[in-house]
Amino acid sequence: MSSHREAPAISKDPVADSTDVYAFVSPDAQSTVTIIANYVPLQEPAGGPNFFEFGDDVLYEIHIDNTGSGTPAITYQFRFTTTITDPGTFLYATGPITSLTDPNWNRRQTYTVTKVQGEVSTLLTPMGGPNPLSCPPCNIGPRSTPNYASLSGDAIYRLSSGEMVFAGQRAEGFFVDLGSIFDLGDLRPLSPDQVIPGLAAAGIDTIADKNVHSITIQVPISSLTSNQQTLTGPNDPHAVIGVYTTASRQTVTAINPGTGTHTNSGPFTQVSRLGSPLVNEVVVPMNLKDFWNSQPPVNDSQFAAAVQHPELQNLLPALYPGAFPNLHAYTKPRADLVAIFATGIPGSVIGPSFGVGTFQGGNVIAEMLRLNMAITPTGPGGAGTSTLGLLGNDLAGFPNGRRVTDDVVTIELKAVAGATIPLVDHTFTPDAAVAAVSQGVTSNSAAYQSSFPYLADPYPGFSNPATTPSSNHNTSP
Amino acid sequence: MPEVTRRQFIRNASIGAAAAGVLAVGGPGILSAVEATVGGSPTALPASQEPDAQEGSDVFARVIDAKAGHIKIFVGERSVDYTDQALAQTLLQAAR
Repeated sequence: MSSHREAPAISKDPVADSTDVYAFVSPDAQSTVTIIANYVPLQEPAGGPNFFEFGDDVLYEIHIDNTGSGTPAITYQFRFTTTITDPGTFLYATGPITSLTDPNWNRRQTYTVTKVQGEVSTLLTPMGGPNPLSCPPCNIGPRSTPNYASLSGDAIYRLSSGEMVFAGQRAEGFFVDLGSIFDLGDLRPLSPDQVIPGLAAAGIDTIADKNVHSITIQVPISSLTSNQQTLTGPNDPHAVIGVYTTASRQTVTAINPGTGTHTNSGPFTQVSRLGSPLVNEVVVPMNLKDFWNSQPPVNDSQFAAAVQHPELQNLLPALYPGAFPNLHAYTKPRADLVAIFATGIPGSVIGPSFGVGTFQGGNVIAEMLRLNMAITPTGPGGAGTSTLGLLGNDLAGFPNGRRVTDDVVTIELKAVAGATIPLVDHTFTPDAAVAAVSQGVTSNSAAYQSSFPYLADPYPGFSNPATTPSSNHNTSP
Repeated sequence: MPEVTRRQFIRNASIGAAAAGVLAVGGPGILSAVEATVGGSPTALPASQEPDAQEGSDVFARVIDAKAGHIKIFVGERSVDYTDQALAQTLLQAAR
């Protein structure tokens, strides 16, 4: 999760913690865009007796700006409701759960999807299916959830308005060497050169084998453009959208003494937001992180200084003495990072033929994940595909949206280290060390799915950690 | 940090310091009850801003500025800004 526990307040509220946002042209349905909004980080698969859930008291939202105004033109709202079949038992499942309506599933969540466009709010309904929609159960093990793939597959819904939607537990898609990076900025492959040197080693995906809760929606591109038309190409002025997600809680929460209940009141107030990965994690200073989470992107000019002069830029030469002399000497505002995170990258910067992320009509400073919906996606492992996205000459990858396979940690480390400065300042030469900058983890522990919802089925609790057997069924006759 | 007693807190609020006291009441009756005891004329709420305080829903009042009478009322999924110096003082006195 690129934005997990990234601010003091939200680190204590995992149910409302926006952890990752992905936005990409669906590789298997290229007339659509898929947006993945993840919450509830760092889930141990063996999560019983109270398995992980969305918050019934949280308003989850996916926002899309399709005009470059910095404000959403379209918002999808998700609200969840937990129901308990038998409150007299402590069990999440009273027997094998073989369908989404199985009476053995004691504690289940359903949800509604509302589309807000302008002043109009529309409750979206599934084609021929139940409303509200059902989350799948958490992946427990071979006795409780014996055919999990079937359960999760049944939780994919086609809405009558054209979207496809899923909400529930998935395998964590982000990969990062958390343990090393936040140990005074050590990158294991470069440890011998660190100011406190160590042995060189491959990176470790510290969040491997963890689960997350995912809201995934696939939307026809023609529904996302401001003119509601299909696109003519990457230079189409309607080709770019800005995406960000939020979680909000009601303003007042009162604990009802002696009851084990609480009462919420008042309008929903934003407590978490996320667009591009890692911004509130490593760009926004400690004293502004909670405030950042409360702010809409259109107010982000107040954070511009942190992007223009990122602390991490000064840390790299200090942590790796002698490795980044050019970066250390560079004192100009980082216009490249402002473009990547806050305004979109003009076509004049990327190349003569098309732009990645610029909006026609101006450059509002608003941190979002910007996606040019007219750039053809590259397939995993296919020609021209690079997990380094733009830095790997793969224009279909981050920062043009974000795919599940993009190594955003390494991309952003390289960018901060100076790899993207030449895009805006041709007088700058990146240090040679930039080529070596890497977190040392290049892929996720779980294989992604090639189709919606793209993140893999969650790790089952029974067989995790990985050293435990996947089954202990007695096969003796 | 020295412990602030409730009496000190309310005194500070009454002399103009920003007060952030929250009073929760069950049901919508407090406003009409307070109006009856105060006898003054609070700022009338336009009908469009009246809280939808349905039967059984809790109403929360937060005194933002006691001297100015600025009160924020929360009910359901809404909030209403209300100005009434006398009501603000009554709420603070009730909290002693």
